[in-house]
Amino acid sequence: MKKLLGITLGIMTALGGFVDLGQIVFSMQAGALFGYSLLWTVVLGTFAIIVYMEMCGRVAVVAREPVFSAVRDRLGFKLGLGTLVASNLLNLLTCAAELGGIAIVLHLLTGWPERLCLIGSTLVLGAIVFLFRFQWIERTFGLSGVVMVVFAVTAVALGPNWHAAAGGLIPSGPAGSGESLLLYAYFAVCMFSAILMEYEVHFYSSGAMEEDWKLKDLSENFMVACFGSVLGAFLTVGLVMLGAMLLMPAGIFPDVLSAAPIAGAAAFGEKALFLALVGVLACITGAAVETALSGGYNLCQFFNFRWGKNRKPRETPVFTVSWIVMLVLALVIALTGVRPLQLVNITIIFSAVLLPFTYYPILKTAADRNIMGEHANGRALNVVATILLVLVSIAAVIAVPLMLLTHGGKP
Amino acid sequence: MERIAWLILALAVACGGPIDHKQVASQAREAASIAAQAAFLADRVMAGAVSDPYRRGHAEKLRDQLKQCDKALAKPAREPVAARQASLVRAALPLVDEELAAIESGSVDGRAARLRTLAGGLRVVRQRMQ
Repeated sequence: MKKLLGITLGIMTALGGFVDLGQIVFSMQAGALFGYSLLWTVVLGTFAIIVYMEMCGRVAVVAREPVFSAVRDRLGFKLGLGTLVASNLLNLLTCAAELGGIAIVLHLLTGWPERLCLIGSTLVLGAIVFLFRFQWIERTFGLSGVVMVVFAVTAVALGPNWHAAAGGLIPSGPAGSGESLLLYAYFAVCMFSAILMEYEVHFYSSGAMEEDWKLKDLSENFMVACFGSVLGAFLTVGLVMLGAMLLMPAGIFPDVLSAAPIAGAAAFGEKALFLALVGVLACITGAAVETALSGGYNLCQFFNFRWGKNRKPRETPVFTVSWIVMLVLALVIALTGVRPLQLVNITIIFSAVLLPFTYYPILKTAADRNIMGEHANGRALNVVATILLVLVSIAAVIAVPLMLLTHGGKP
Repeated sequence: MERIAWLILALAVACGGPIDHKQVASQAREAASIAAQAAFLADRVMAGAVSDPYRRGHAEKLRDQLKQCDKALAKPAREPVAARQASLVRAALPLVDEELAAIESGSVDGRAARLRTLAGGLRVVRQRMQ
């Protein structure tokens, strides 16, 4: 049973990580614009996140080194500090976007005023994170996020074109002008980067240490990374399919979060809509928790302060204050009325730029025999991880130019 | 730091400058998409598959989006042709808004068909701009 519950770390990391507010709408937009043809990015991104999640989990277990400690040691203090500031800024903006998303979903569920939902939900979220141990946080949000499966069930119930979907697993450009090629590239980069959002590896590696994984747990590490990510991928594919089947023929380009649940329940009735809303709520709440906690983890790991959700707050004052400050600042940003989707689109792009600065130190540490001993990467894994790092770096270089050229992905 | 400042400046110029015919076409597409989403919502309400808070909330969000669309089209145009096209698209927006307001208040009967017609019209306008 304990082993089974251990999987929830992978589920929460993946569902809160790549099935968050941005990805939910983004995947549907990708399907609405390009049908099934961007499904390959989900497969590639999922493969990459499994490889890097497994590596950062292994580094955390063997070397007792969480991600931001590796970032500092491998990149040096100056570049590492820059990465820390940028990462936490992105975590803050993502957290603000997710809080805004939570308020929207609660408003859709209850009809209560959005501002009330925003303040109330942030207070409840803060209390849950403060009072619960790490394992209970991950179990609560990881398992409730599984309700999102209603999107995939709806997609299958609507009868997708499986032949076209299989064709989408092979990269192929869109038919049409150079502009649509740019838009296709923009969505490919965003889909790929959103799956690899860096706070996922921060959270996963810190979670492995919170749960005090030992060497004997290494075999589970791979299973946990795989199961959570494959589930996340399954749901993302469902979202893309819904975009392709429902939205594309109707000429709909969904640009609001409220458009997602109605599509996710299109084959069923009001109860399915309720489940879709609850699933979205669970995933974006998980993402808000992940980003707030990651802010605290990153800061403490970089400066060697004591950290850990399972320790008493007075033993970890910097960690406790930093995640609370993250949540409060995120609430303030969300209260300004900025559109959550606009915010999350910016964070996905700038997160893509930052990805190599997080993923390179993980690879470098995991491949180092002096640190990892017999648990260091084998040659084949090093080659695969290096190829993926090259792809991540290409995405980092082209992300901002593509955003400017496509006006932020506007068709 | 300097590079970041330049990037922010470039973004501000890209977002806040006068509107050209491509951006008008993009807004026309967005307006058509909003109308189509409203039609989809109306269909689902008619099928009894949508709760009241969701109907009101989603219609409200679509109306907000329509306002953003109108705001973007109200910007000064870069060319006279873009100005003409923008006013053409803007003229259709109150019609979509009227239908959405009706859905928000719970009057859904016959709205889906009207909204689909509006979405189709906006799509034709957009195609002619290209």
